[in-house]
Amino acid sequence: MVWERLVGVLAAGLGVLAWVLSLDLPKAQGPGPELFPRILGTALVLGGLYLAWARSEGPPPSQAARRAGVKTALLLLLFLLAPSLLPRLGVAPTTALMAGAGTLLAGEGLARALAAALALGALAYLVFVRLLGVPA
Amino acid sequence: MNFLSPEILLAMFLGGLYGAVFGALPGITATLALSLFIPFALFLPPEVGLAAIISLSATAIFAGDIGAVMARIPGTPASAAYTEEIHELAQARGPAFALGLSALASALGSLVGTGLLVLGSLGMAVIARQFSSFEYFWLVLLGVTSGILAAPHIAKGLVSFALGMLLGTIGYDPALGHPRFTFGNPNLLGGVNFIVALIGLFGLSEVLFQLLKGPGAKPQAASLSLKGSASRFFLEPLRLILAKGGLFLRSSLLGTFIGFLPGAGSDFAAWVMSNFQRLAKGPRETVVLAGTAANNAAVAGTWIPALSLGLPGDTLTAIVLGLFLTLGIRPGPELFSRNLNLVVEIYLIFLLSSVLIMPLVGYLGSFLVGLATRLPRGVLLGGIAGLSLLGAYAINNNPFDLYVLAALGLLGLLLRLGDYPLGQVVLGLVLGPLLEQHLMVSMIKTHWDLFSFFERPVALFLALVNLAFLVGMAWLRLRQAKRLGALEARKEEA
Repeated sequence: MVWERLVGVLAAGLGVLAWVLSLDLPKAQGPGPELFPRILGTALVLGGLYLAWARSEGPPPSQAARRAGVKTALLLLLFLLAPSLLPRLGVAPTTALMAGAGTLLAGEGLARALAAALALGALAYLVFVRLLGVPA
Repeated sequence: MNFLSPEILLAMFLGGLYGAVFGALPGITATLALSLFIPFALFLPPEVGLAAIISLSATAIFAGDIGAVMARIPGTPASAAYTEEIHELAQARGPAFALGLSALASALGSLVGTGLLVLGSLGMAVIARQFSSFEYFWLVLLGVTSGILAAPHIAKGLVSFALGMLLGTIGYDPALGHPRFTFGNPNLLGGVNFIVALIGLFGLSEVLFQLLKGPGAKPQAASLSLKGSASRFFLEPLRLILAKGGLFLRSSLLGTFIGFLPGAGSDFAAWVMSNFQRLAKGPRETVVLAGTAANNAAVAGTWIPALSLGLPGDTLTAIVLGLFLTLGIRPGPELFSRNLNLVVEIYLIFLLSSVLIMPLVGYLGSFLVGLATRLPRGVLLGGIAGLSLLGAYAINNNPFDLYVLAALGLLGLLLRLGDYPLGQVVLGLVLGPLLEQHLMVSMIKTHWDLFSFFERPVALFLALVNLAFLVGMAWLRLRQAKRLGALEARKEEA
C-alpha cells in the first residue's frame, strides 16, 4: 500500500526534524528538554523507515481515487482558509459554508447542500452564539 | 447539584440517545461521537457534562450492535468481534431478540463493571497515595507499552503513539519551563489544544477520508419493527442471561479487567471474550452474550485507572481526562480527597446508566436509528464538517485553532489511508507529557541516578510488571503471527 509507505517516510522525516530542532533547545545540567523529543525522534525514524521498506500489500490508487482526491483537497483548502473567513463572515455563516461545501463535495445536490448549510448555520447561531455565548 | 436533578437526568437521557444513534451509524465511532460532543460539554456544568458523557459512551458501545443487527455492519469496532453471530441471530430469532440480548447483556455487564469500578478505583486511590514520580513513571510506561502492543500492527502502533507523544512535546517543557517547538508563535505556548486535536483527528479526517473513498455501499436496513416486541426484547434475553449466568459473570469480570489495563479498552475485551466462546464451540447466542457483556463492562473498567491514577484506559477515557484538565479537575488520588462528591456522582451515573438508560434508550434508540440511517451520506458528512469547525473554534474562540484543526485533519487522513491506528495518537498525546514529566522529575530529584527507578519496592514491582507484560505480549503476538503464517501457507498449498 503506497499510503503505508508514505506515512512511514513522513514519520521518519518528522523524527529527523525532532532531532534537528532539539539541537537548538536550551541545555540543562544533565539531559534537559531535548531528551524526550530525541527518544521519540529515534522511535519515529526507526519505525518509519521499517514501514517504508517493509513488504506492503494492496493496489495503487485508482483513477477514481485521484478524482476524489481533488474534492478532498478542496475541502481541506476551505478549512485552511477558514481562519481568515471566520472574522469576516462570522461563526454561523462560516459553519454553514463548511457544511454546505462538505455536502456538495460528497456528491449531494444543491438542495440538500443548502438544507445542511441552513441546519448547521441555525445550530451555530441558536446554540453556540445565543445560548452558549460564543462571539459571533 | 443532586445526581437525580432534572438537568442531570435529562443530560443522561439525551446523551444516551445521541450515543445510541451515532454509535449505530457505521463509520461513526463512539470516539467521533464523543469528540463532536465535547465542545458542548465544555459549556455545561461539570456534573451535567459528565452525566451526558458517561451515558453517551456506555450507549454508543452498545449501539454499535444495532448496525450489526440491521445491516451486518458494526457501528463501532467493539461490536465487530461478534457481528456475524448477532446478525445471524437477528435473522433466526428476529431483530427484537438480538437487540434485546445486546441491550440487557450490555446493561448487566455494565452493572458488574460499575461495582468493580467503585471497589477498584477506591482501592487504587488509597494505594496510589503512596506513589511517587518513580511509581507513576512505571505505570505510565505500562500504559504506553500496552497501548502499542494492543495495536493490530505493532510498528504502526509505535509510529502512531510516537506521533501523538511528539505532538505533546509542543509548548513549555517540564524540565526548564522553556518554550519548545513553538516557532515563536504564542498560540502554541500552551501546547496543541487536546480537544482541537481530537476533532481534527477524528472529525475532520473522517470527512476527508470518506470523500476520498467515494460513496460506499449504503447499509441495507433490515425491517426493524419492534411493535409489541417488549417480551422478545426484555424477557426472552433475560431468561437466556440467567440460564448462562456463569458465562455472563466471567465475561463481565474479565471485560472489566481488560478495560482496566491502560490502552486495551472495549474492543480488545469483546474480541478476547467472544473468541473464547468460539474456541469452546459455543452457540452464537453465547458468543454475542460474552462479547457484548465484556465490551460494556470494559467501559466501566477503563474508568478505574482514569479516576484513581489519571491514566486513560482507552481513547474515550483519554478524551474525558483531557476534558477534566480543561475544566481544572485533576484526576488521581487527589480527586478522591478533594472532590469526593464528583467521584460518587460518577459512580451513581454509571449505575443509573446501566440499570435504566441503556435498556430504555436501547429500546427507543432502535426505532430512531432506522430513521437516522435514511439520512443521506453527503448530508451527514457535511454536518460533521460544519460541527468540526464550530467545535474547534468554540473552545477558545481563537481562529488559530482552525489551522491546527486542518493540520491534524490531514495527519488523521494520512494515518487512516495507511491503516495506522488513530486511537494510539490520542493516547500518546495524553500519556506523552505525563511520561516525560515523571521521568524528568524523577531524574532531577536523584541527579540522574538511573538505579533510583528500582529502589522503592512498589517501583521495582511495577518495573517487573512492565517487563513481564512486554515479554508476555511479545510471545503472544509472535505465536499469533506464526499461526497466521501457517494458515496462509496451508491455504496457498490447497
